[in-house]
Parts: sequence; structure tokens; C-alpha cells
Amino acid sequence: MYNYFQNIANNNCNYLVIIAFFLLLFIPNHAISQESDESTLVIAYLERFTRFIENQSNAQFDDKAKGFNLYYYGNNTFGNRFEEIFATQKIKNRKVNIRFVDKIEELKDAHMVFIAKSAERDLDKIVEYANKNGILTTSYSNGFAKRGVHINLYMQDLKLKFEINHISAKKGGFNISHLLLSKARIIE
Amino acid sequence: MKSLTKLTISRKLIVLITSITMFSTIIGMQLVQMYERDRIEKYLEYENQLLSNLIGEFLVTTLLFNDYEGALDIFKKTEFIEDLSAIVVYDADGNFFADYYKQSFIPNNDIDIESISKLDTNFVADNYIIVAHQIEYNDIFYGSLVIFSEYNKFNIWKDQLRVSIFLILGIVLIISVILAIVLQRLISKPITDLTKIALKVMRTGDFTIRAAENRYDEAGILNRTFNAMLRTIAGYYAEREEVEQTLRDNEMRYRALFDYSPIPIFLFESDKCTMLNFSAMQLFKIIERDDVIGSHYNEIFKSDKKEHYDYIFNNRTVNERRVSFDFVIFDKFNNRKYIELTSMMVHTNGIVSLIIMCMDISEKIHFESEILKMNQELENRVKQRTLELETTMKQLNYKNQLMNLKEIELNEAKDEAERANRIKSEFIANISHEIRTPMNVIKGYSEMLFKRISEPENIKILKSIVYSSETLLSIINDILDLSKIEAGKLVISPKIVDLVVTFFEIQDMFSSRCHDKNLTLSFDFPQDLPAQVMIDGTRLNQILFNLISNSIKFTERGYIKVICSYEMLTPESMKLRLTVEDTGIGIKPENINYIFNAFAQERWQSKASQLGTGLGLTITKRFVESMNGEISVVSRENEGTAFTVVFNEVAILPNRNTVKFLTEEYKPKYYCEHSCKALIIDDYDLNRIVLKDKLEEFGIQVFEAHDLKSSLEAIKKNEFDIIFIDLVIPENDGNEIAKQIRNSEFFNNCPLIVYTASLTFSLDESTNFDDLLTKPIKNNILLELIKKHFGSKLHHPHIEEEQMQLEYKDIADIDDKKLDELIELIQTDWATSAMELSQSQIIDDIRNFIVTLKSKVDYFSIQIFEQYTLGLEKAAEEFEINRLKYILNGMTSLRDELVNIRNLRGDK
Repeated sequence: MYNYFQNIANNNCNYLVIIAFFLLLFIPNHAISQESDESTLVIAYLERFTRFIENQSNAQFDDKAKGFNLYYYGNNTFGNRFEEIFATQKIKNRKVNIRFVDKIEELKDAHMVFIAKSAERDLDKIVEYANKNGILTTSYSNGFAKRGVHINLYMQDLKLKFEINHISAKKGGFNISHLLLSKARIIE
Repeated sequence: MKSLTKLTISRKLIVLITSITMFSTIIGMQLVQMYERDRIEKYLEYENQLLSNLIGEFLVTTLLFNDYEGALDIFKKTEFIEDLSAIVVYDADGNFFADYYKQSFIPNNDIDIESISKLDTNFVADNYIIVAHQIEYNDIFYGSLVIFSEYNKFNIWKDQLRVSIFLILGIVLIISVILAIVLQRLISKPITDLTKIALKVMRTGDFTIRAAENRYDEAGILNRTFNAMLRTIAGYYAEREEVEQTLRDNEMRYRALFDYSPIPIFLFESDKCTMLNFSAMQLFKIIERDDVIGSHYNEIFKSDKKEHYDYIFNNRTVNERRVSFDFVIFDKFNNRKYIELTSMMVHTNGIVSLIIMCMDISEKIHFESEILKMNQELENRVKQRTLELETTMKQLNYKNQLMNLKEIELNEAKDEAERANRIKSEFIANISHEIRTPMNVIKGYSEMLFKRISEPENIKILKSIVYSSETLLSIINDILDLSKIEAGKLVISPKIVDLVVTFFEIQDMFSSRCHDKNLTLSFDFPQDLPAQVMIDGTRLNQILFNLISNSIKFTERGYIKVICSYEMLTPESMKLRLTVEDTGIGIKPENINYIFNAFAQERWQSKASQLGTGLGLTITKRFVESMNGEISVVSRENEGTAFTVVFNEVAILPNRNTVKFLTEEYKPKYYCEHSCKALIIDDYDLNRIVLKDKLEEFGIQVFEAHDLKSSLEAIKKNEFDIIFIDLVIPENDGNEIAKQIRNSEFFNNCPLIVYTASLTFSLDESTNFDDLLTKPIKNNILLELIKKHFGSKLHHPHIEEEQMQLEYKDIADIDDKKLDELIELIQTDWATSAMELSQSQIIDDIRNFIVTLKSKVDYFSIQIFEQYTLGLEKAAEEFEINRLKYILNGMTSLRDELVNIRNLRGDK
């Protein structure tokens, strides 16, 4: 990518125009279209996030030889939607293992954890544990991002949108693509 | 093109240079344009692909999260990209997702954007660059987009480039014109200069003007060629002037020749007279030339024989000469004249001219008639004279027959005379032989009488008899040789002869006589002289002997030199030249023509005391001529004489071309017994070595001593057969050493020989020597000395062989009295004479001695004496000098043999 922009810079001053265009794309756009099926959309978004995220500190996060462990922490409000969707849908081209947990210790093998509203009490510990072990944290609860959850979904103008705690994500060793960042609300 | 040829060279050059420059620039610009067009097209393609990639990438999440507003937001941010006119986006399922159009965009319904979006391509259509791009991220397909960019940028660039090209072409045109103007001067200026020089030459006619030759390019070559041309033209003009002058001179000469020719000549062109000379005017009595010039030949040549005109003037061919005799004309005064016309038609410069030459033969015809009359008279006279001549011829024939008879008689008389001459020669040969026998008897008995008379007066008479008989014998011998030659009995028998050996032998032969007269005899011959040749050695010896004898005879002091030279004719033959030169009395110029005539000696011999028959040189000349040679003489009175004999062709033996005479030694054929010992006493090493070398050749064992002490020690240790003592030895002279040796108890009384270079030393009672040997040592002297003192210890195979032949067949037939008489005669007289002759080697004396011996052969009737005499005679005839010496020295052996025979008979 760097070479790509390098070529642009070297070729002609006209590329400045393109670079300017490129910079403009970093300006976040909060408008996310609303899904008809909110739960399905939330679960689908989880898979889409992983396309733009890598973890350098946790090798298992990108280990294609193993399945992708997606844990649900707290009370299940999605019914069996997780199992249904991830029965066929893969994450990072890996089979997805769904597990519902309510203890921090159980997050040991998790690659990504969805924290329910009910786990607000353990949130800080979960975040700390996740950052320590390179586990991507997601949620659909207002204010969770400010408390350290990496990606938090929220509804605005009847459209599902998401916010990213970039500092916390960096703590957890995650690299998030600018494409995803450009679509998210960044929580400092 | 035609108009170009009318231009000057300078303008042509300007046009040419400018055209080439412009052409090159246009081609260059075209190439640049093509290159730039391609480059810009690629650039635009790349730029739009890049733009589509970027937009596509930012549309990934928009498409993923179905964010239509997000897409519009991205489109909005591309507004400032001027060229981008439209964007159309489709999702992964190929459904329309979003689009964006600028107001300036003019859609083309012919373009199916949806179909294009499924491709990954770019192309130009309707002034738009259309790029279709498939949006992918991490190998996941999210959708596709199609962008439309305006093509204006390329068109603007093309306009700019066109303007630039025109600007450059304009500048190049101006520069090239300026450069062409400047450069053309380099080429056109020398031509202009040359043109000016050519014009000047043409105007002035001065061919000495020259163009500058200091350039080295084609202009320089042109100038030099031009100059060479000027020189050629100048030469041509000079030559032409000369030719024209010659032509003018020739014309004047021929004009004068024509005008003043005694032959009347007319020149006609187209039957009209154009020229005539003075003789023609005179012949035809014409006063003014103009009276005739332009006249037709009919008007000039008036004759009553018309056919002659046709022959001379009509139907002519070029260069054909026609002559007409008996031509009658009438001159201006109508006088009749006989003329002979010669006509010749010539063709010069396209004009045919007829030359007519006239000859007035009026007198000739008159004289011819006179001559006819005279011829008739002459014929009559000739007839008369012929009759007289026939009579005379008959008389002459008769006389001629008489002359022939006389000639036959003369030839017969000549043959008779020649036959008589031969008979005379044979008679002389026979009579001489007959005279020689009694003459030898006279001489022999006269010599015997010497011992029996003592009165001085009688001795004087006897001496005169002996001298006269010797002279007479000598004359007879020469007469015999000459008569033999004249009788045609001289036979030349070439044999293998070693020239150098011959020279040495002759030198040895004359050394004693030259020594007696204190003369030097030397042989001078080239070192590369071919050694062995085919020549009659006997005659060669006789020739040299006669010439050298002659020189010794007439030379009182100085030298005699024999100079030999040669000239190679072929590799197998040479011309041999022998010159005998002396410092004698010479020959008077008036006598030099007679010296080769028989008995001519008296004519040129001034001294009566000189001996000789006067036949020697005559015989020599005959010998030389018989051997295909020539003899000549050069002499100055009281200074000397040189006889030169040239043998014109002498065959050379091929196997041995040169003689190594310097390394060859003159080896004696004698040898001593092995026990013979000699002692050389000399303080000078080199002298000892020389003598030792010579003695060793005789097989003698040689010892050396250098002073008295070493000499006495040598005597003590060895018993010597002979001792040689140098006369001068530093401490004790030779005489003192000889005395000490004689007093030594070990001395065996062997001969003591002093050898010295002193000419004044002689043996007498005060000396202690037995014999004398002079230095430089000569082989023959040394040989004689050894023979004298070694006696029977000295052997010679050849002599012994000869002696072996002296076998007596039957000694019983020998008369004792005659045997004693013969032994007595040998002992008292012949042995001494033989020894003297062996030393003197005077061939005449030897011949006389042989005659004396032969006169006794019949008387004694002893076979070995007869054999001895015949052997000696044969050796003398063949001029075998060495053999002669050996046989003469063998006289004592003969005596010993005769004594043996006597003893044997006594025993019996």
C-alpha cells in the first residue's frame, strides 16, 4: 500500500489531487444503513469487522489452521441466531465455534467475545482480560466503547452503526484497517 | 527541378543544406510526436486506472455495509478532479449501487455500462477514457465500478505539441539558412575564384596565371588540375606556334621549290588553272601569271592529239600518276613543242587538285634520232671489235694451257723438293747418328789421352779436340731433334704431369749451375694452380730446360725467374702460360726476329765464348707449336729477356684440382737403415728442428744437443753414424766442439759435418770437420751428402729395382780382359763423370756421355753394361731428370756388380 501511494506521489503533481481525495475519505461517516433484522445484522457485522482486523500479538487470532472461537458473554438475548448464522458463515474463512460463557476464565480460548448488556458488571475485567490475551471484544450497548470494548454497535437514525475504541484496540494488539475506521465513530 | 539547374551553385547549396536540415528536423519532430503520443496515452491510461483503483478501494466498506450515502460522500469528494466526468458502481451481485455524473458529461446510449462493468478494461470512446474496475479486497469481490474521464488533456497536449513543432521548425529554418549561407562559401568561393582566374586567362591570353594550390580538398585538386591544364595549353600553344612556323617555313620552301623548279608545273582545280611556276611560264612563253590563272586546261594545252588530253585530264583517281609521251603542244607564239606530261591527282582538305608537270622533250626527241644513228655506227664497230677479240681469246686460251702445264710441272717439282727435304732430314738424322758414334769415340779417347800426356802444348791441343767434339756432338744432338721434327717423327704423347713437381725437379736440376754462376732461379706460380694436367711431360721438360739453359747461358748476374699463370677455359681445361725471365745480356732489336731460326745464335750472340748450336730455341719453338702452343719473346739489350710459352688448351685432371704444394713435402725416395743415428749440435732450436725433420725423412734416428756438454753426453750414450755441428755456437764454436768430440774416448770416428750459412767458410786442415753443408739446406745437397757418408746403409727401392734388372744372363760369355778394361774405365773415368753429371745435370753433357757409353757397348758386349746404357739413354730421351740422376749415381753399383762378376768367374 505504501508503494502504491509512493507511485502516486512520484508520477505527477496531479496525484496530489488524488491524495487529497484519499485524505478526505478518513473523515468518518456515521451513517450506517438500517437492517431489517437487527439481530441478524448485528451478528453479520461481527463477521464483517474481522475482515478488517488483524492481531499481531495473538497468533491464534489469525491461525487459519484452527477454528475461530466466538464466545458470547452474559445473558443470551439473540436466541439461537448465533448458531444459525455461523453454522454456514465462516470468519476469516474458518469454522466458527460459538460458546456462551459467563466467567472470565472461560474466555481462555476465545478469539472474539460479544459482551451482552448483562455483563456490564464484569466489563472492566473482561476488557482487561481480553486486552491481555488478544481477544477482540464487541458489544451492542451504549457506553461500552468508552469503557474499553473494542467495537460497540449502536443504533442511530434507525441505522445500525458502530464505534471503535482505537486505543483499547491497540492495547489488545489489534490493527484495524483504515477502511473500517473510516466507517466507524472513533472513541478516544 | 529545371528551375533548380538555373540557380547558381551557392544558391543550390543554400537550398540543399536548408532542405536537408528541414527534412531531418521534420522527421525528428515526427518521431518525437509519435513517442510523446504513445507516452501520454499510456500516462492517461495509467492515471485513470489508478483513480479507479483508489475509488474502488474506498467503496469496499461502503458496498460491504451497503452504505449508499457513504458512496455519495466519496463521489462528492471527487468533484475537484477535473477530468473525471462520471462514476457508476455496481454491487457484488451486479446490481446498480450508486452513480455520479458531472453536468458536462454527455452520456452515450450506445455504450452499455452494465456490461462494461463486468470487465476489467479501459478504452477511449467519444472523447472519454472509460475504465471498468472490479472492486476486491483481500481476495473478496465486493462489486465493480466504471469511470468516465475526459480526453481533453490529450487534445490540449497535441495542440501544444503542434505549436512547439512549428516554432522549432521556424527556428531551425532560420538557423539552417544562415548556416547554409555561411557554409556554401566554403565550396562556392574556390569555384568563384577559379572562374575569375579562368576569365582573366581568357581575357588576357596569359597562360602563366595560376590558381592557388594551397588547399588540400577537391577545390585544391581542381585548382591544381586547372593549372596543369593551363600548362598543357601553354605547351600546346607553343607547340602549335612552332608547328605553324614550321608550316610557314615549309610553305615558303615548297613555294620556292615550286616556283623555281626547272620542271614546268601547273595546278588545276575544277579544270581551272590556279597556279603555275616560272618554268611553266617560260615553256609556254607566258609573261603574266594572271593571263593563265583561271584558264581551262584546254586553253593552255593546245594539241592536235585530243586523246592525250583525255588520258591526262579525265577520269582521274586520287594519287594516280599518269604519264603521256609524245605530247605535242603549241606555245603562245604557236611554236610546236614536244612535251611529256605527268599528271597526279591529289586530294587535300576536300579539294581535288590536278598537278601537271611538263617536260620539254623536243631536244630529247632530236637527240634520240641522233642516238639511233650513232647506235647503228656503234653496232658496226662492236661487230668488228668482237671479231678481233675472238682472235685474241683463242691466243689466250693457248697460253693458258701452256700455263697449266707449267703449274703441273711446278707442283711435281714442289713434291719432289718436299720429298727431297724429307730424305734430307732422314739422311741428316741417320748421318748425325752415324757421326755421333765416332765422335764419341774421338771424345772418349781424347779424354783418355789427358791422363797419358803431360806436355802443356799437347794438352792444349787435346782440350781443343775435346771441346770441338763436345760442340759437334751437341750440334748433332740438336740436328737430330730438328730433323726428327721436320721428318714428321715427333710424336706428342700427353701424360699425367704434376706441374709443381716438374718445377721443383727443374729447379733442382739447375740449382748447381745457378749456384756456380751466383744466379737465383725461382719459380713463381699461383697457389691454386691445377696440379695434375695432361701434357707431354718430356717435351715440357725439354722446353723449360732449353729456355732456362739459354737464360743461364746469357746471364752473368741477377736472376732467372719462371712465372707460371693460367686461365680457365672450361672446368676441364685451361690456357697455361710459362714465362722464363732473366736479367741477362738481352737481344738486340734487329736480331729478335731471327732468334727462332735454325743456327741463328751466331747472328745475335755477341760473345764468342757462349756455347750452343743455335738450334735450341728453334727446337723449342717446334715443340711448343706441336703442343698447340705459341712462343714469344720480349727483350731489352743489356737488361734481360723474357720468353713466354702459351699452351692454348691443357686438359686438367678432374679428381685433383689444386695442388697443396705448401703442405706437400719433397720427399726423397731414399731411406737409411733403421739403426742409423745422427746427432745435431745447434743452440738454435728452429735450426735443429728443420734439419731433424729432413734427416728423419731418410729414416735416420736423430738426437739433439745444444752445447758441448750435452754433445759429449750424447756421444757417451749413443754411437752415431753422422754428427752435424753448427759453426756458430755461443760458448764453444762448432770447430772447438768438433775438436772436443774427436778427442773424446767415446767418439767412433763418424763423419763430422759442419753446417753453416757462411759463404766464406771452407774446409781446410785447421778445421775439424769432414764435410760441409750450407744453409739453407737443400734436399739434393743433403741427399748427396748422406749418400756420400752413409754408403751402403742408404737404400733406394727404385734403384734397387733397376739393379735387380741388371742380371747377368750368362757370365761365361764375358771376355775377362774386356771386363777388367770396363771396370778400369768405370773406376778411372766414368764413375767420376757420372757423379759430376748427376750433380751438374747438363743434359747436353749427359747425352754426350750416353753416346760415349753406347760407343763401347758393342765393343764390351757385356749385357748389364748394355742395359745400364739403354736405361740411361731412355731416361735422357724421356727427360726423366730424377731417373737420370739415379742411374748416373748407380754407376758405382754397376762397377760393384762387374767386380762381383769378375770374382764369381774367378771362383769358378
